[in-house]
Amino acid sequence: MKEGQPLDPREISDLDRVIHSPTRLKIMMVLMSVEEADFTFISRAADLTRGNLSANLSKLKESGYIKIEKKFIERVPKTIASITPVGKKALEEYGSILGPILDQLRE
Amino acid sequence: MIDQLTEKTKELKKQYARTFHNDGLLDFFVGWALVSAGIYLLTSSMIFSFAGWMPFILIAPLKRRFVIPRFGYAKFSIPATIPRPILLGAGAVILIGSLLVSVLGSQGFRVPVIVGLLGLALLFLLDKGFNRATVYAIFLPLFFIVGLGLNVLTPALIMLMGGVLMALGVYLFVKFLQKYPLEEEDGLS
Repeated sequence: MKEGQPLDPREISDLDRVIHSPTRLKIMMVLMSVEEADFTFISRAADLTRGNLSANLSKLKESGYIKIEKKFIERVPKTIASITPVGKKALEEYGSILGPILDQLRE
Repeated sequence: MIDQLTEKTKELKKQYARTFHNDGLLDFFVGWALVSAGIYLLTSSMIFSFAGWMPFILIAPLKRRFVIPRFGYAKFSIPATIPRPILLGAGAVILIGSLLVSVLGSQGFRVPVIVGLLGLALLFLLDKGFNRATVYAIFLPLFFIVGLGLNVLTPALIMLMGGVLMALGVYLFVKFLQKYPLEEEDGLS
């Protein structure tokens, strides 16, 4: 959307559907706030059940937006997730499309 | 929108960091240090000169044992302004310096208590950034410098303050354990 131009509803179709889901958006927001986090932390921070979180993490991983790896944290094996550069870019693009739409709706 | 997202993530980061440090451990050990300092001033027993702040080394293992498995692990990208080895070096200098002052000086072990607490407060401030530790980093030196400077700091008062902080620490720790029960690790592949 170009600045100063009226809202074109067709641009809503450009929204990234992977990120547009509230659950996945919450996960992405949490992961944007940290360098990396384990399953328990994301589940608590995003207030998601473990099953729901697991399914959505897999979807984000498939899209290349997050990276999931097994790491030893303080000698304990943990599943660690972190946002990838592709994920950051996708989130920024999502914001750049949705932002002006929301701004225009507020006017 | 991007600015809003950035702001929101900053808020979240602060919120997570606050929750992570709201386990009462720091409060308990600061209280412990104050109680020990009070006992030292009463008894002049050398052991309490150092016993107060040495148990701070237990914070990391206790975090590993109780906090991380319940709250989860997250690495916050707070940039360290000073490299950790330098901070540890500074800690060693403070420790050795205060020992030397207490052995060679004429002021007994009051100096190491104050220097130790000042040093710890400073290291926390440098290492952790602006969070709960900052409050203590500002509070502790002021408490001792002003209190001793004005000659109003009695051992009983120091122990009372320490006892309150220890009780607060225990309360926060119990609340933390209740709020964040232990959960099984996930089965993600």
